[in-house]
Amino acid sequence: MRQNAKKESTSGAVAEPLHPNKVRVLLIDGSSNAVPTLRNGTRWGSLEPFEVTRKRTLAEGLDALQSSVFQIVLLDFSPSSSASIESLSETLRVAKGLPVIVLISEADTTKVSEALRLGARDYVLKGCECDCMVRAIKYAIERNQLLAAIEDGRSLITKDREETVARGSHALRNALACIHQFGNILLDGLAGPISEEQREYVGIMVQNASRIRTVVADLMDAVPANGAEYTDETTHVSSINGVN
Amino acid sequence: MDGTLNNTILVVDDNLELRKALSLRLRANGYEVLLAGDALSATAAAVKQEPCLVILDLGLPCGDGFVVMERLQKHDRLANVPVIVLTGRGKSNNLNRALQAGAVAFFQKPVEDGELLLAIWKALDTARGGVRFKD
Repeated sequence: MRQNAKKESTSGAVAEPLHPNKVRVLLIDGSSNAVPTLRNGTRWGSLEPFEVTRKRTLAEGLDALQSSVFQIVLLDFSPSSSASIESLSETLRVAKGLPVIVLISEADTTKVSEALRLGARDYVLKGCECDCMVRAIKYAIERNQLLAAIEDGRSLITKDREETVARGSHALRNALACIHQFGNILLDGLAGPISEEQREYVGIMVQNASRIRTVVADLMDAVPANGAEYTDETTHVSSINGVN
Repeated sequence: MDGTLNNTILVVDDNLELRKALSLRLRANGYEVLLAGDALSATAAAVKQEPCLVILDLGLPCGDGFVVMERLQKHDRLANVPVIVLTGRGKSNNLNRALQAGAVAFFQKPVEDGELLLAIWKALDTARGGVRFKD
């Protein structure tokens, strides 16, 4: 604890790597004893101790956010602080997805809904019991991890769907190209003469292949692939098939 | 230079049936045809036979169509050979990239024979501005 305090006073930022067994908290709080219950060494249940980095101004806090690794931000939002909706907005922007909990006093509960709407993960009354603060931090971090996992899963599903569409379109176009090409080869008599009846039937096949091509194009327009691309990853080397 | 027009088109596509169909169509229109089913053999065939034009698929084994175009550009004798892309891939991600890589035309499969033959004729006409003959 003493070591952390010393580092903050000299460099203004904690630069050592994330300790796997610590919960790193950035406290942006200009008042003298805003969170007396939360100090370095305060434990999350009986497991991880908190490692609290305290910054007195918003500017210092944002600098610390950009240069160090934290798991949560506590932002003083009480009337006695200079924090405003704008400063919360700026903190959320720089925090890039980290959970931000606002600390309020009983007098400014009207700001809470606006803060939550803007993106604050939770609010805690300053001077609350340590357990209450620890629980809020724990829930905020776990909720954030859960949301991140959901977002990752959603991205994977979207990417998978786009790749499936791209792969399907590629396969359909190749199959259609074969039907189209060979149909026209028959119609043009390149494979020998055909009867009028055969010509009619092959013509129907080619016409329907053209219709399917239009449908595929329309479907691809309706389901943009966003960069997904079918790529053939086959590694075999085939020889030249023929030199005529 | 023997005064004979080089009329050989290299068709590069990993789909065997489509190679055969394009070969039939091109030969019926007076072209000689070379066939390759992957990026490596496409480059080898181009270097060895020096076709007058390449019809190139983009999704290929052993590198894609862009790799083939890049390799052709590195050979003095092939850098000016027109390339027509004929692919099952989407236009949005590939059209501009293919044209920037040196393709003179871009078609999505399936292509109308008339459109493809016209593009071939135009590309060769442009390439033979001074009437190019096979050495």
